[in-house]
Amino acid sequence: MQFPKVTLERPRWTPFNIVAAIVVVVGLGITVLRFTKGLAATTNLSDYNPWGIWIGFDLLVGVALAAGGYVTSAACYLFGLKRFHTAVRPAILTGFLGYALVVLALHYDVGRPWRLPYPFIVQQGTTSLLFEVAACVALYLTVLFIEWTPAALEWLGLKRARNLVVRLTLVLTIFGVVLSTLHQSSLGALFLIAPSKLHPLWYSPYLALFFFVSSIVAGLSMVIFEGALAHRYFHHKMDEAHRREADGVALGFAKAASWVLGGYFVLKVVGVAQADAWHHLASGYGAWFLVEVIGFVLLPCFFFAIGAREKNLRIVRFTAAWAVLGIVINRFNVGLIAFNYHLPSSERYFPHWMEIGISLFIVTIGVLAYKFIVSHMPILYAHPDYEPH
Amino acid sequence: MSISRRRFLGWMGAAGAGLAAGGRAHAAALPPSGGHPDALGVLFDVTRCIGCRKCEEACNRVNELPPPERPFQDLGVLQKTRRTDARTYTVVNRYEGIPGAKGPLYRKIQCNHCLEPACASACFVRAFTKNPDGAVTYDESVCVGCRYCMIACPFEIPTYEYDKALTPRVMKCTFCHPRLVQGLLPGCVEACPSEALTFGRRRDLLRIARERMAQFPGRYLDHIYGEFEMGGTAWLTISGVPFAAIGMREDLGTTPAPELTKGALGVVPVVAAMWPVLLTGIYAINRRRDRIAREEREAAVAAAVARAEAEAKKKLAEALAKAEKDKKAAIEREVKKALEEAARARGEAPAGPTPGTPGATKPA
Amino acid sequence: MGGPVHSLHEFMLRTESITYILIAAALCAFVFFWRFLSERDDDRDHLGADRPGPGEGGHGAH
Ligand code: SF4
Ligand code: SF4
Repeated sequence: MQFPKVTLERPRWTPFNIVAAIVVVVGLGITVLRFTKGLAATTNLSDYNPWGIWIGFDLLVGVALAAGGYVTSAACYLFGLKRFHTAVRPAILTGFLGYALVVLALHYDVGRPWRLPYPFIVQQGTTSLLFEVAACVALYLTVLFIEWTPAALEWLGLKRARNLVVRLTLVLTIFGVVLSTLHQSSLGALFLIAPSKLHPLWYSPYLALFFFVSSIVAGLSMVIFEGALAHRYFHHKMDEAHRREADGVALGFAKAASWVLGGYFVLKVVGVAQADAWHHLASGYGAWFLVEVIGFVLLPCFFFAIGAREKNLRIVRFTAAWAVLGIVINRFNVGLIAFNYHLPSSERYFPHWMEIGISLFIVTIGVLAYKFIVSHMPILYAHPDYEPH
Repeated sequence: MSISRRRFLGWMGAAGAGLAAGGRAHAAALPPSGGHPDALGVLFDVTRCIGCRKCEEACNRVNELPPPERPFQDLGVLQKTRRTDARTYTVVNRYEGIPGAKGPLYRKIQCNHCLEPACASACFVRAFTKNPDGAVTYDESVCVGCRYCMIACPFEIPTYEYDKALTPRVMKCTFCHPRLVQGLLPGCVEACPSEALTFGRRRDLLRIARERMAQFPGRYLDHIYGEFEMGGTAWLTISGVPFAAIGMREDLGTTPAPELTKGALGVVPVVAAMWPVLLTGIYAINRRRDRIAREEREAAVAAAVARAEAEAKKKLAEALAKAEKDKKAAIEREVKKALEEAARARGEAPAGPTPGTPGATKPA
Repeated sequence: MGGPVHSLHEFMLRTESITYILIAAALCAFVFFWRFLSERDDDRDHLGADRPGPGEGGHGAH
């Protein structure tokens, strides 16, 4: 058994590193402010707007975009699409990092972060959908961590432990899909309790279903998107199998994403019909709703289809970024833009620059962690000593 | 048959008795609602409120809240529409120029102490309790500060101490629960000089409201706000102008908050129970298909190998047979040749050694 | 968990708490039941308490 040597190269001042360094330094500064002066000093939250971008972006968007882990591992291990095998590890890694960062972000947002375990160990508010979200996120973070450990254990050369974990693959995958289904949908269901505050075009008894279905799209698109980025920047880290399968993964996922987006579009339209909210379409919110549903659901659906049919990777990758943006817009709409639509504009929320600073800080930490792990651990290549699982 | 029939009728009788007795037998069939039968409440009569802010002052005093920026006697504060905040459990707002009203109208805001509190339903640490006296109280010792209660409350009542770094609390009216326990009136009710606030059992208040409506025809709208809104509230309001005109939402509906999330919560066990079944099933089916495919592949390979082997054997046999024939022919030829040669030699020259048959028997 | 129930909220607090416990128990039970179910299969899977055979279909990609 031989432990790997981590060679810490001296940091090179590439533009990326400079920007990252600035964001991290500023982020640390805001962190100090947040925990010494409180939320009032660092956010624009108010009694009307208790949730800002730390929930709307960091939680709602973060969890949706980290859906690649469960989508890919389900496709590969449960639905038997083994050609996607090389996509599993990167997807699990980004999923794990995503959830870890979501939990980190929550520490900034909640008033007393050290009490975050209270819903489990002190008093269980089981009637709350937030309880369910919290329980599932906590469990799923654990599942993702275990699913990710084989890479770390291979890196560390701990063969026995690694094989033990690999044997759990099936249980973990199924458990992961169950937990993901539950909390992805429950994030939408959080807003079910406030029908008077969420605009009728977005409020729907189907909110939970909307969030779940769109999380599949988010997961598929993110895998394509991250794959494209990884190819650009970590090509040298990839092994033969990875490069060979990558295009197939992108095209296959594009086809799946197109199909799911089609279903999602129908659901969204049915949602309007069920709420009988047609007349709202003529308002400003209606126009914005149409932008979301046509511009960021229907069109990506169509372009994914073209890309998959023509086997055109450029269209597929471009559309993946587009669809991801669509998910971001949807989560922002539900959490921030169409929420409190009844309030006068003077009472509406707009993020403080420090809130944006912390969100950027957290994303940057994620990118740095990804870079480190991908550069050192067998993520984009299979470790020569181990059979792929 | 007759026994089981009699027994069945007996059960029916027992069930009927249970229903007649009320209580749990009924609760088993339908989830209960309506809250504690003797719960207390307050009736706020908009037509009586004079906007003096005495209730605000009393609330501040009995709850030991921080002193206000401007004194309670300063009615200029009413120029701006205010809401509850972390230092104020209740506020009175002024509404002017309402059609049908002679002068300005005032409306007091505070927690309505819902019968089915959305805040309590939303809190994931059960920080809120609906007490038998009707008060919805908050326990800061468990609160995580997620502020989901503030998202959930349809009346936008709970507020948060955003400016505290380490010990922020949710702040909201307690219905003076500690005072009620001591047999005292809520601070605001006690202070109100114009009897705009009537304290009592909620079911009595509903009756009182109706009596006032009957006593002063035309003075009130036929609507007790809070009787059914969001499943009903302990605080009730009656008014002579539409409630929307005094800043109260009329589009909240009558669905109690827990009802709104019931469906989504009900799906949880379904997913938890059926997803493993379905997913493991899909996995097993794929696995089986893989295995069958593999077996078929192996069988096909074996068959092909067998066929190839048989063919090779046949070819070998044929070749051997042919070789045998060739050999025979060659021997015959050689023998014939030898005989002819011998005959010729006999005729021409003395006999030489017979040339041996060469390796011509090699199979072709 | 006894006592009279006066509101839908209290009712759901009771039912949901029990449901969550049942879910947790069921999820654990599923693992063991599946093991029991496929223990005697010729090619046991990851839940069947056996190592995947070489080249075994479930997960080997290449
Ligand atoms: S008014 Fe709001 S804070 Fe008061 S009990 Fe109802 S939901 Fe809770
Ligand atoms: S902020 Fe506190 S009281 Fe409100 S829902 Fe969260 S934990 Fe419960």
